[in-house]
Amino acid sequence: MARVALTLPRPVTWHFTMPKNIFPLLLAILLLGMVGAPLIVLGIASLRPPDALPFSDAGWTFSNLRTVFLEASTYSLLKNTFFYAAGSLALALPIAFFLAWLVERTDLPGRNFMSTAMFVPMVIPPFAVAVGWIFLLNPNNGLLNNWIRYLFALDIYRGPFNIYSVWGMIFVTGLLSVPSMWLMLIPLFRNSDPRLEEAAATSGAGRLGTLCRVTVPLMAPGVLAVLVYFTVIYIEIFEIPLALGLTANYPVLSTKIFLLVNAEELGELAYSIAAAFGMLFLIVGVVLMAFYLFSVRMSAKFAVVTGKGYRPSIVKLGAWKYLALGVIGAYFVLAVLLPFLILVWTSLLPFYRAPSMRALELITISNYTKILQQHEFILAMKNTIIVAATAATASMILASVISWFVVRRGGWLSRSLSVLSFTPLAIPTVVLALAILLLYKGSPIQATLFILILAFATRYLAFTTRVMHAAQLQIEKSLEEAGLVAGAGPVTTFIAINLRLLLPALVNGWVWVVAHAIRDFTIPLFMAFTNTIMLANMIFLYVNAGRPGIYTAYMVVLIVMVVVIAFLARLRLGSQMGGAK
Amino acid sequence: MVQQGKLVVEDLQMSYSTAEGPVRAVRGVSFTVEPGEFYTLLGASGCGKTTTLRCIAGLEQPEEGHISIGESIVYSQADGIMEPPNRRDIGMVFQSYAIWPHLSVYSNVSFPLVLGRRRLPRKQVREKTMRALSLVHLEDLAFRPAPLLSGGQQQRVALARALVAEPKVLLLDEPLSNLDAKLRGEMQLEIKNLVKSLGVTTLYVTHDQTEALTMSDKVAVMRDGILVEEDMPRNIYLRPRSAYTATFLGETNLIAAKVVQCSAGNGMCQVESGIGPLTCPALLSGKEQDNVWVAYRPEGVNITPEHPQRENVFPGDIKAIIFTGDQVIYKIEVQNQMLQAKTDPHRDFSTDDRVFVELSPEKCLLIPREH
Repeated sequence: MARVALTLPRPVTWHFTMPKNIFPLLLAILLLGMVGAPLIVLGIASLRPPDALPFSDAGWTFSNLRTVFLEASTYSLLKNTFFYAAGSLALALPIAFFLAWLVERTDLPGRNFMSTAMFVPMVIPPFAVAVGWIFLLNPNNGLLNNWIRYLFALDIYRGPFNIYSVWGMIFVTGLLSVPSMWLMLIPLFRNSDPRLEEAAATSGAGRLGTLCRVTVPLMAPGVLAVLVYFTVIYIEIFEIPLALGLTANYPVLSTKIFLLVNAEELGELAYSIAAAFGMLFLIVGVVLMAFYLFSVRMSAKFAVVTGKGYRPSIVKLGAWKYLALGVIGAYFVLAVLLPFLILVWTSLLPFYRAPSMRALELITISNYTKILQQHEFILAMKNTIIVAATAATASMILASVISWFVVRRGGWLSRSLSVLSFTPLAIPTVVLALAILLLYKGSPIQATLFILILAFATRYLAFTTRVMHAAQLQIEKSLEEAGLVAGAGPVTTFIAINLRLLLPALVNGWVWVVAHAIRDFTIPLFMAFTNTIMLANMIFLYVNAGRPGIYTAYMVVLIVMVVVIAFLARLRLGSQMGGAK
Repeated sequence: MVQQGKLVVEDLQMSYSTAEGPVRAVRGVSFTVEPGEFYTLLGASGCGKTTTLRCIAGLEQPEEGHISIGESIVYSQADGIMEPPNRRDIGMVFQSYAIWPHLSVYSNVSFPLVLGRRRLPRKQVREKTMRALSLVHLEDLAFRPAPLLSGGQQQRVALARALVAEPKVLLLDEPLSNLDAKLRGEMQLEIKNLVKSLGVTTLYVTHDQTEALTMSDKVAVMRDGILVEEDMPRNIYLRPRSAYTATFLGETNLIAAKVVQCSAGNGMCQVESGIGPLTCPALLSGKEQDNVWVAYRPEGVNITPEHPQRENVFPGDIKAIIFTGDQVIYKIEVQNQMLQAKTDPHRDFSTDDRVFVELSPEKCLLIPREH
């Protein structure tokens, strides 16, 4: 007597069986909603008259698009943005390249500890570093400016350096992007075959000649890919232009949109223009991302696959190592030490005073005790932790499930899931924040933590999917099949075996997202409401109110939090953590 | 102790898509494994044997056919039935063993009883798990973490895990291919004795003909998705029905020939071949066939320095000698054809020796030849 089991409809020729594909289909719809819906609303909003919300029936107009795309001021804005990006590249690349070369191709002492050292400037919140540099180099009473004026007996009231300028922005941005760039350049050195360089040397080329004629051209496509990648980052960067660019009267795309959304006197009016700028920004982002993908493909052609026993030729530095160590030391002093110290110093004083023997007597922890007693601090801390942890959990679970389908099932549906999960990369964070804000504007959800969680989860989806995809590939299919054959259902197998084996990657990814969400300024500043403020909002509030003791105390707390969390992740993950984006 | 299930596979068809278009991996395979029988699917890589096994396990979706395990139909295209693997009463040993690295030996083996179809109370789980472990002689390692085991030990864990829930059918996918030769030989006998003592119906997949012949009650040779022939090991080796089987299982001398005349009386035929006239037993199938192969196993070839004055003897020159330890392989040129002979290592001929090659009539085999 036959026992009748699951009945299936007769499979259509290409094996599309309903029950098998319904779940990935739902996932795809969810992703479309997460990524596509905000962008559609952005488009709609840009076509509305200036004083209307996207979902009102106020009719359509092209005036916003005309304003944005056809006015000269837009192009000077773009010019500013690209100049800033180019300057940051020009500063960061030589430093990062030099450091990568030192670690990979010389006998620099302590080079194995470089990646540990590098991670601090990588995770420290850029806004805090920028503010630290304001204390050091603002034209009026910047500490370093004072010292330089004193040392060189300069007879000027301001300067000589002014951090409130595009040069100041480039300086801070360039310095802080060195670790991520360095991380991306290291594999280029590893993959380039030194035997090709040796061949050049044996044909008589000097060290410089080899460098110029062989090493650099071989690495050029890979370096190009890195350059384009960072151009994308610099174009969309928000925190440093916010801290320095506004006062410097040097708007870039990201701060322009921020101003439009936050200008008190304009109220609702500016949303549609902001949306129009958002569309411009999006197009720039997409084009650059396409260019990046193209240059990655190009550089793949130059990759040299090295065999076992590959040992690059090491340059002996001899006495030059002191110079190299000096350069490295100078970098860390400028990028991390000086700004952090001035922040700590300021946080320990009731009001800002230049360091001196007398000022030392005023040191107090009253700022810290003050903020710890503020109920907004507790609220901000609570919100920050909830948002970061929830976004990380949601993002990791989504990424695990998506990666499972992509790796195990394949096919067009899974590939689309993969593509959809990577699209947030092409969307500048500012645009994403603005788009989600507009999507939920006017609805009760806008004042909840939900939109913040949604924004962060969407923002980091590309990274988490990439991490889980790599991890899922390591897990042999037969391990799951053995679970099924042993009688465990698909969900039981997924949880008891697959997720359990993915746990290290899950935890590492989770901690990475938490660290990045806590230190982010863009999404909180665009999207938080009165009762959903995060730590970044508190900092911004007090910066605007001009309370240095308070906001530096907040910053120090934030920096310590982020560094500790990131350090915990590092202990498990090692130096595989990706660059900061 | 173990349930006995009959495995019936009918007209199984399955293809999968590749970059170059669909590949028909299984093309109408049918066979039956009687309860308690040890049945082997033997074939070269890509012949569809593993795909067939995976269809039986439920890990692949076939396009056509019918599979039943014991009393249950687990797959039937016509009736729209497709049981997922976790609902089939099977145990399976994978080629890579698929031992879960995050669990101990005990937890690996007890998994089917803890999270599988029929979940048992703790005492019974312990009892059955320890019994399964003792069957594979691993009781002492029960609480060792799985990654700390050798290949052979992992394989035994996989076996214990497959048997612990007392399945109706045991499936083994080339489980010995990752082991070294000596261990492989030992494990062949161990597995066979184990499943025989339990009486569990077993389907074994391998490309190694020695394994197939040593362990099985029945061997089925597969090629390009088709089951070429099935028979008991001795028959399939000594009396293969196709040239492919003859050359796949061990070495065979294949000599093209034409049937001249068959005598109904003694069941022998005269054939004319490239090396001369031969007397051979009539075709197994009994059909009238003109074009045939004469198939002769090298180990049955008798080499003598002088003509033994019997039938089916031909002069030839030794062209190559290969000493393999327990045998010597001679390649002998007879009338522009190379024949192979295997003798014990004590026989000692030299290259270019002229010898006489005897192909005894009773050891000759006629196989149909298509042209």
